[in-house]
Amino acid sequence: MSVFRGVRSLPSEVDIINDAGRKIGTEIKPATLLGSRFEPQEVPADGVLVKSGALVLNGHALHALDGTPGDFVSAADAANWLNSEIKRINQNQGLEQKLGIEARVVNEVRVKVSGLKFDKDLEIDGSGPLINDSNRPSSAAELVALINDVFNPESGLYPPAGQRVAYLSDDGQELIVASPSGSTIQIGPDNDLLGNSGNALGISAGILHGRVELTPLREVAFDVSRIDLGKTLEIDGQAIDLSGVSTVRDLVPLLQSALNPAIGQPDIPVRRYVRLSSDERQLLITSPAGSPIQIGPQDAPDGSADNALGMDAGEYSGEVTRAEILLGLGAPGDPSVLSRLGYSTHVYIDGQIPEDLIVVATGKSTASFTVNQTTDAIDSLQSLRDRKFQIKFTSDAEYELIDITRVTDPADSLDLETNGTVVAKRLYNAVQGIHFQGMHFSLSRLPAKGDTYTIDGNRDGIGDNSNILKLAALETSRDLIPGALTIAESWHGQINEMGNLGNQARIAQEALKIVNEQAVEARDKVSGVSLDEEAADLVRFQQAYQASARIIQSANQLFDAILQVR
Amino acid sequence: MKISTSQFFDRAVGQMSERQISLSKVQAQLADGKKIVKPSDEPDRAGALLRIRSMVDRQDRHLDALVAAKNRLGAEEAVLKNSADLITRIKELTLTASNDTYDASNREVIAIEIDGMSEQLLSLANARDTQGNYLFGGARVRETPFQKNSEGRIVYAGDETRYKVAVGDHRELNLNRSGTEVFGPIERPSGNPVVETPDSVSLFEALQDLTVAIRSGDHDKMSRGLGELDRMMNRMTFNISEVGTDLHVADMQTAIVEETQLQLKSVLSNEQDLDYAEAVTRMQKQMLALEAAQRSFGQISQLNLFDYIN
Repeated sequence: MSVFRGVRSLPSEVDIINDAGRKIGTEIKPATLLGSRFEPQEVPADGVLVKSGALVLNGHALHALDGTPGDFVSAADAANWLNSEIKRINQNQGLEQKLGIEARVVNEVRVKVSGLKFDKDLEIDGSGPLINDSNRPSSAAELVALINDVFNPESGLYPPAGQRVAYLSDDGQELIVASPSGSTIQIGPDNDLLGNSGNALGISAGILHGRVELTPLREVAFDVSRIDLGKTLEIDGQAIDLSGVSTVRDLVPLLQSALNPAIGQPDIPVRRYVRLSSDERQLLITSPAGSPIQIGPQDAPDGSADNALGMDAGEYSGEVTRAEILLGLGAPGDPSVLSRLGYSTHVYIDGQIPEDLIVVATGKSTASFTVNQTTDAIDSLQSLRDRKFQIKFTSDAEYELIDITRVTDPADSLDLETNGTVVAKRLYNAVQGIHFQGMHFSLSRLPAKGDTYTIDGNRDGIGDNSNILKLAALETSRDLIPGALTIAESWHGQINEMGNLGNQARIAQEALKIVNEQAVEARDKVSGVSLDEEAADLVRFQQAYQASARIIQSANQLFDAILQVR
Repeated sequence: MKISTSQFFDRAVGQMSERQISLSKVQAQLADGKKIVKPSDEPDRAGALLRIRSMVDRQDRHLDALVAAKNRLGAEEAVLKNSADLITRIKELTLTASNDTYDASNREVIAIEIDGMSEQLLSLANARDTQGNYLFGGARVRETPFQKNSEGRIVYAGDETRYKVAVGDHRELNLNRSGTEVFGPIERPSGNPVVETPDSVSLFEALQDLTVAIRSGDHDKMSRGLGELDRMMNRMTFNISEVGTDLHVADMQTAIVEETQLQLKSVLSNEQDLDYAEAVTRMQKQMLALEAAQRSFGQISQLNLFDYIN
């Protein structure tokens, strides 16, 4: 059993299902920690918002997040702090241990298309009513176009920071207004006097702050040997001025500053990190999850690459890492620290818990708790069977439920002791009996003080055939095979399919055989030898020969006759 | 059109081998006795056939289960009947002993006999079936259900599991009854007029108490014992009738399953069995065709222009 306090995200494997409902592979969904909206926070009098060591990222303690007392810390500040901490940690790590994580601020407003109110106005960032009577949209797509028009007059360009991008979700059910830089989005006009929304998005008016997101980095590797500094280069649609760069080493700081023009400015997060691999054979550019790197300009007319990196023009997104992200609490940390970053604190307990859990909260401020558990149904049954309970009547009407499972001390496997925890103390209800964790216990007669009953797993009940009956019932179960078929039906279906295929193959064979026969026949008609025909030819030639011979003979006789004339 | 010599031979061989193939198919059908030798012959029907065949197999299994269930229930019935006989005999003896004309030595003889009978009853309660499993121990079939504990009292070590066996597509038959249901505790009036709810006492303890009462000539306790014997008898009768019902159900279910199977088999036979008359005729026809092909080939291939050229 392991316990982790904090917040974590693990990469998960997602099955790829085709239209027929069959699994055709798996896809890795990278780990992502997305906090709630980050309200700017005032730096307290001691100048420290997050104490040094209060937070631990993937096992590395983070230094303090501090500032001038009275200043406000924004989401971008927090993300910058996290990124600088990651950078600091990475500087002390070997290549293998480097944290492949990046913090960034994301901000988007998601509303259901069904909740849009086209008769209402809309203001974004106090831009004045986007919607007025002259351009009132009638569909979500029109609203999307309207927002994009206002914020991106030169459409098609990568939106500079501070802009807004609107789009519809893949299923068309949601309208999303995103702030690419993560800066705050202000939605207006104000709510009416009753507090009802007065804008076209149908949401409460106000300032929506960005969220801090921790995602694994994707890194795209470019081969240094292919780099040709004589050519031009565009990255993410931005032309890079390569004049004055003669070596790849010079290229790195140039790209770093060109791609991240706003380093140091709090409002714009770092978008790309550029570095050379340690053997200087690869140029590595990070691509935060979900944003591929665009390389240009367009390929030469013959299709060959025409940019300085020597790569075909297009989008490149790196390998998804299997990195997990664990943001835990250190010794001076408590859940309030994590909640400042927009994360709620979790306690993850992996493995079987042999006892009941009790959550005890101390302190003054309010907190909310939820408990989730993923358990295997069979395991819970099994674990119940492994436990031993005692029901002890402390009076005629009251009983105690005692867990008397013998537990093994992990330190000394021989040291067995009885648990003895009183898990419940209740009044006995003769009608309902005693219920505990799915167990039911009833007494046919009234209990008396001092009565004791022991409940233990029935390990010797080997004559019980209920499992076998369940196995036998699998024969007619329709839950095993997709498409609600029984095993036999599926099997028969397979045989049917095989039979059909066999039959089709036979028919195809017959048809092809006829084609083949005709071809052979046609060929033999031309090239084949018929003995009768040859014999007839032979006779004909023989006769022709004989006829010729006869002519020669006749001629000879004629000559003879002529020669004999004297 | 010219037919070359090799083409003539090829074609003749091809035609004859086709005849051979269809002949061998009929032959396979005749040997198998079935219309469909492999699924590709008639894919749709082959699927249906397999379905019916697996249904027939399932009915076979139900019949096997019924036979086993009947054996088991028969064994239980025998034990229950013997137990009932024993209890009747104990009751007779108790009635005799309660006669005032019997003196201590007479009663001792009776007590000894009842002791022997309760031993007998204990061995019946621990009876096993043909597989060596205890009949009245619930699912704990390897544990002697009624055994003496350290205090010398007979306690039940089985559980209350009632297991069932599938004897039809939607029919399960009850196979056992637990030890408590048959040889479990017997009600005994508490003797306390205030408390209405009666006490209970183990069946074997009740018999022990009875022999003690007979030995000491305690008529009150003897009549209490008679009441308890009545209740034991009632319970035996109840269980016997339950087993009887189960056996009757098993018989009826056997008839139902057999009927179903007969019907399924006739469907199966209609679907899969070969019509021999038709198949034999077909074979005759194909043999004739093959023979004609062979004979005509023999004759035609003889024809050769060279024969006529000298």
